[in-house]
Amino acid sequence: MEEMRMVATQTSEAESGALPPFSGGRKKKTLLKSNKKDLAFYIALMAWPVLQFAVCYIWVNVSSFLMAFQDINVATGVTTWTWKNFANIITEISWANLGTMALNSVLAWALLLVISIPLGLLFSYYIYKKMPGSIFFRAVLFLPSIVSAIVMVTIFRYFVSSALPSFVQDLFGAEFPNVLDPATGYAFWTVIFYTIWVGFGTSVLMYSNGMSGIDPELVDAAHIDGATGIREFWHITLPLVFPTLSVFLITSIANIFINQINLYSFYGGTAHSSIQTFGYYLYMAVKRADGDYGTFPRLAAFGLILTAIAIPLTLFVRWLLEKFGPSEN
Amino acid sequence: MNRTFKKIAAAVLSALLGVLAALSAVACSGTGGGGSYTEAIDKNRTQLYVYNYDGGFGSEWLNKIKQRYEALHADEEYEPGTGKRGIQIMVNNTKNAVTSETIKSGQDEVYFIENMYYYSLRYDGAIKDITDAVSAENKYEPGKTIEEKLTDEQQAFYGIEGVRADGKAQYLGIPHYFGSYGLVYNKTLFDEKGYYFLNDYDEDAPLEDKFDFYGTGQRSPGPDGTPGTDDDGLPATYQEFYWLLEYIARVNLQTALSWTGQYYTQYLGFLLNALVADYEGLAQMMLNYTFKGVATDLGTIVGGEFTEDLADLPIEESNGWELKRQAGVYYALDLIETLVDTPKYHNGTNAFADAYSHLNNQQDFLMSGVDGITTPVAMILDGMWWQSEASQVFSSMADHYGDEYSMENRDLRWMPLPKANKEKVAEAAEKIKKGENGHTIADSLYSLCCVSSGIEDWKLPIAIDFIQFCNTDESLIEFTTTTNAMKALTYKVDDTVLQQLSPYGRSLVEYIQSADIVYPYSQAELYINNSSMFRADEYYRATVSGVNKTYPAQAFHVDGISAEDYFTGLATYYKNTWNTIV
Repeated sequence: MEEMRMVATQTSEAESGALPPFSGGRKKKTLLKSNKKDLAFYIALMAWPVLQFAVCYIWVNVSSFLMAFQDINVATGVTTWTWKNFANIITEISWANLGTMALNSVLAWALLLVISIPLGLLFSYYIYKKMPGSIFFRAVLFLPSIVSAIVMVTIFRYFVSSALPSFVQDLFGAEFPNVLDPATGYAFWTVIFYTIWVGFGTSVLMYSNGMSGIDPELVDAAHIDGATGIREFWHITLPLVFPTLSVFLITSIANIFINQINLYSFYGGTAHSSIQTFGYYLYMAVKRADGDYGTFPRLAAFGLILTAIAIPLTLFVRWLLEKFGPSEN
Repeated sequence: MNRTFKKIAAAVLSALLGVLAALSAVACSGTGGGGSYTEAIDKNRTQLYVYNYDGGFGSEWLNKIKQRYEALHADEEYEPGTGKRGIQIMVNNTKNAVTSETIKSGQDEVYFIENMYYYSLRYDGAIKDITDAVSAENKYEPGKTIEEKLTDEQQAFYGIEGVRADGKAQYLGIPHYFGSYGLVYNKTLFDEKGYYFLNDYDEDAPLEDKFDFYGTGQRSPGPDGTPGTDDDGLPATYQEFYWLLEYIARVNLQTALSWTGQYYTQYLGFLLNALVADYEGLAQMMLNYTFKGVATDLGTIVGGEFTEDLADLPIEESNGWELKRQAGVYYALDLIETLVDTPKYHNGTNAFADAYSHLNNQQDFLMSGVDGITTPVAMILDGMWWQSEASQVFSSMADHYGDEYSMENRDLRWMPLPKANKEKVAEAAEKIKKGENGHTIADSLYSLCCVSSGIEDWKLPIAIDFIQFCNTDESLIEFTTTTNAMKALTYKVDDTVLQQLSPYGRSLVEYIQSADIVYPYSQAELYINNSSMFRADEYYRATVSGVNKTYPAQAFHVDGISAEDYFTGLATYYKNTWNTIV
C-alpha cells in the first residue's frame, strides 16, 4: 500500500510538472533504488547497440579513414604516412575500368529507380486497397527477401543456365544461350533483372506499410469529393508516403557506390570486368586482399574517393526532393 | 499490480538482453570460424582445440593422428591437481574462413589453414612462436627436426632471422599440405582406346596413325623424354596434346578434356601457372617471388611469334615486372587460349556454365562410360586433392556398380604436363640422365600450420608437442596414405607405402617425388608487403586496349583476346602498376 501511495504521489507530481519536495530519507532511498534499477535496465538495453555502433561504425570508419593515408610495411612492421595511395589505386584500376564500373553502377541504380520504385508503389497501392489476391501477392513478393540470398541465386542460376535452355530446346528445338555467361552479352541484364525481382518484396513491404498508416477518414473525404482511384493515389497516397519514398531515394545515392547487384553470389570473385560495379570491385578487392595489409591502404583510399563523391551527391538529392517533392499540404 | 508487472517485465527484458549480449560475444569469439567440434568435451581429460580447414583434403588424416596421439598420452597429467588425465584433441572441421582476429580470440589453439598470409598474421600478432617445435629435435623422431624437412626456400620464408635472443630463426608457422592443379586421365579408357603416341610416328601422317590403337606398338618416351617410364605414350609436347584432344573428340566422339564451368577462370589460371612453372623450372620461376637473380628467357612478340631478347636481364625488385615476359608465360597462354577457343577440345557449354561445379565435373568424370548416359570423359582438369573431394561418388559407385569402381581399384592417373616443345622434352631427359628432376610443380595452396597467440602459456608446450607429432615421418606418410596426396614437407614415400595408395595416388606421389617444387613465396619485402598480388590465380593480370583483365581464360572466352595480345598486355599492366607496389 505504501508503495502504491508513493507511486500515486509521484504520478501526480509528474503530471503537475513540479519537482518532488524533500520528504524524508526512506523515500529518497526508495527513489534512488528505483533509479538504479532503471539505470541498470537502460544500460542493459543500450550497451550492446552502443558498443556495436562504436566498433562497427566509428572504429571501422575512423580506422579506414586513417588507413587511406598509411603505408604499411608488413615485413618491418613500420607504418608511415603518405598521400600516394590515392594516385596508386587509380593507376591500379585504370581509367577504362573505372569508367565501366561507373557506368554499370549508375545504370543499375537508374534501372532500379525507374523500374523498381514505380512498380513497387503500384503493387503496394494494390495491396493497400485490399484488392483481390493482395495477401497472396504480398506473401509471394516478399518470399525472395526471406529466403537466403545464396539459395535464391542458386535456384535462379540453375533455372536460367540449365532448366530454361532445356525447356526451349525441347519445346522449340532452338538453342537458348547461357545468359549468365558474359560472353553472350546478356549477363549484366540478367543480373539486373534478378536484383530488381529479389529487391521488389522489401520495397513493397515498406511502401504498403507506409500506406496503411494513412488516415481512412482522409480517404473517405476524398471519395465523397469524387476522387477516383488514380486521383486518390496521386493526390493522397503518394504525398503521404513521400517521406518513406524520399528516404529510399536519398539512401539509394550511397547505394550507387556500394551496390554489388548480387554479382558475388552469381560469380564469386570472377565477375567479368564488363559487368562489375564499384560495390563489387571494392568488396572483392578487400576479400582478395584477405589480410594482406600492403593492399588495404589503397582500397581505403578508393573508398574515401567514393565517399567524397557520394556525400555532395546525397545532399544535392535531398535538397532536390525537399524543394520539388510533393507536400502533404 | 501494474507496477509489479512492469518490474517483472523489466527484469526479464534486462536478463534477456544480458543473455543476448553474452551469446553475441560468444558468437564472436566462438570457435574461431563458426565450425563444429566432432565430439563432446570429456571433463576427465585436458582439451587441445584444433582448427582444420575441411577442404579438399578432408579431415580423416587428422582424426587418425588424433587417435594415435590421444592413445599415446592417455595416462599423462597436464593439469596437476584437477584429477584430469590424458588429452582430448577437439577437432573443429569447418570451411568457414578465419582472420587474424578470430585466430587470436577464438577457442581453437592449433590451426591447419590455407590461403592465409603468414607475415600478415605475424604483423597482427595472431600467431605464437613455435620455434621449439620446428628447430629443436623432434621428441617423437630422435635425431630429426621439422626444420630439416623444409626446403631452403621454405626455411628462408618461415624462419625469421634476427628476432630471437638465442640466434635461432623464429618460426611462427610451418607449411601444411601441398597442392597444385593439373590433368587427371582415365587410364582404363586410354588403354582401351589406345590413346598413346607411337614411338617415331610420322608427324605428317593422318591422326589415327600417330596412336597405338592396337596396344601392341612401341610407345613414345612421353614428356620426360625417357623411355621405359610410366609416362610413355602420353603427350610430350603441347602439339601432341592438341593431337590427342583432336583424336579423342573427332575420331572417338568422346569428351577429351573437362573442367568446371563455375570456376573455370581459376582452374585454368592455376593450370597456366603450373605450365609456366614446368617450363621455367625452379630457379627462373622463383625469380617471380625473390626478385633476385638473372632472367634468361625474356622476350616479346614480333610478327605474332615469341622472340627472345638477345641478352639476359638481372632482376631486382624495381624491374620485377619484366618477368611477365618469360617465354613460359607466352607458351602457356597460347595453350590455354587454344583449349578455351576450341569447343571440341573441352566439355562444351558446361566448360563455362556457372551451374557446373568442380564436384559436377568430378562426378561426370567418374560416371562417364559407366552409367550409360554420360559420354566418356578422357581427362579432367582439377586439383591434386580431387580424389578426396570425390570420395562420396567413389563409395556410392562401388556400392552400386561393384568394387571395381572403388577409389582403390579405379585406374585413374595424374598426367605429367606436356612440355611446350621438343627442346624442353630433350632438356627434361637430359636432367633425368644426370639424376636431376625432369619436372617442376608450383604449390598453390599457401597452407599453414600455426598456434594461436591466444593460447594459454601452460598449453603452448602441448601445442608444440602436438605439432611435432603431426610432422613425424610416420604422420606424414599416414597423411599420404589417407589422402593420396602429399604434405608440403620433404619426406620419402617408399615402394611399400606406394602400394597402399590408389593408382591415382601412386601416380601423383611418384610425379611429385620426381619434380622440383616451387613454393611461391620469399622473404623479399616486395613480396611480403603485397602477398595477395602474387597468388597464382591473380598474378597474370593484363591491360589490353586500355582495359585491365584479371583472368586470362576469361579474357580469351569472353573478350576473344589472343594469347599474343594478352602476353603483351601482361607486361603493360605490370610495368604501369609496378611503382604502386614497390
